[in-house]
Amino acid sequence: MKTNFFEQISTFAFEGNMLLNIHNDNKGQLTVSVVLRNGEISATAGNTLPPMTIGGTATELDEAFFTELTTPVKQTIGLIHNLETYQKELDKAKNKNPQNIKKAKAAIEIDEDNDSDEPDDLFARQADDKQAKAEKKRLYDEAMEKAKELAKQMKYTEALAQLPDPAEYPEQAEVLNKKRREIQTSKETYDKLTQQFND
Amino acid sequence: MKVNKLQRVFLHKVNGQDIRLTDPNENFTISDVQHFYGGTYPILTNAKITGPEIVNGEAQYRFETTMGTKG
Repeated sequence: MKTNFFEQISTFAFEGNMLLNIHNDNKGQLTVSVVLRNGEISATAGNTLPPMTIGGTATELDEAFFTELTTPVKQTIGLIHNLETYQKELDKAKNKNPQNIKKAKAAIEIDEDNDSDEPDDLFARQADDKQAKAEKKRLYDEAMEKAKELAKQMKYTEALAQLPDPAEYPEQAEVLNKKRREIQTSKETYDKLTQQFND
Repeated sequence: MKVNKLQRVFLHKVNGQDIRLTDPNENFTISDVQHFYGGTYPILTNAKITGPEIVNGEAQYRFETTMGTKG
């Protein structure tokens, strides 16, 4: 007996694995699930594509299986391709941008030690960049302003959240830490008072 | 009066993301469904099924597995 099942499948031109699962019940109803997998993709999204399911009798499936499947399979292949390209570009961008690496490194150090006494050379490159520095200064001023304003309104928790991270501004770390302590003390006093009031 | 049969939906978590598996066949029992999808997701063969939980007009079953949490 000759069939053209595999020839048909090869017309999909997909890369990777196609998992077919065929279930047959005693009434001659077949249920088939189809899912495409590409081991190359480490993005979780590529592996969370759910299977397509198709049901019917053998004759029905013989007639309609490939016509039904062509469009979704083509779309899926397109999606997988996109994911692949996207991931490659993402990796490239990650490797190219030294700032990212530095930031990541700095973040790790800060997690371990919040005193922000890491060496200045981590930020040496940024210091070269005048524009970036000016922008940073502006952001810093803005955040400080907001924090002060919020502290005045006794919104201490929000003020603390607004306060710039000393890790990002090593030069102002001392000021920032002092400010943080200040707000925290005010917050504690405020909390105590509210507590007393509620009692 | 209109009577709607509740659609079954099977949820299964991979890397913290829920995958919605549609009902392959209304006549399947829950364990049939588990075996059916077990071919695609081997981790399901060992899973526990919880539910159904009725959310948004569908009966959600959840495949729960403790595999892969060691270490």
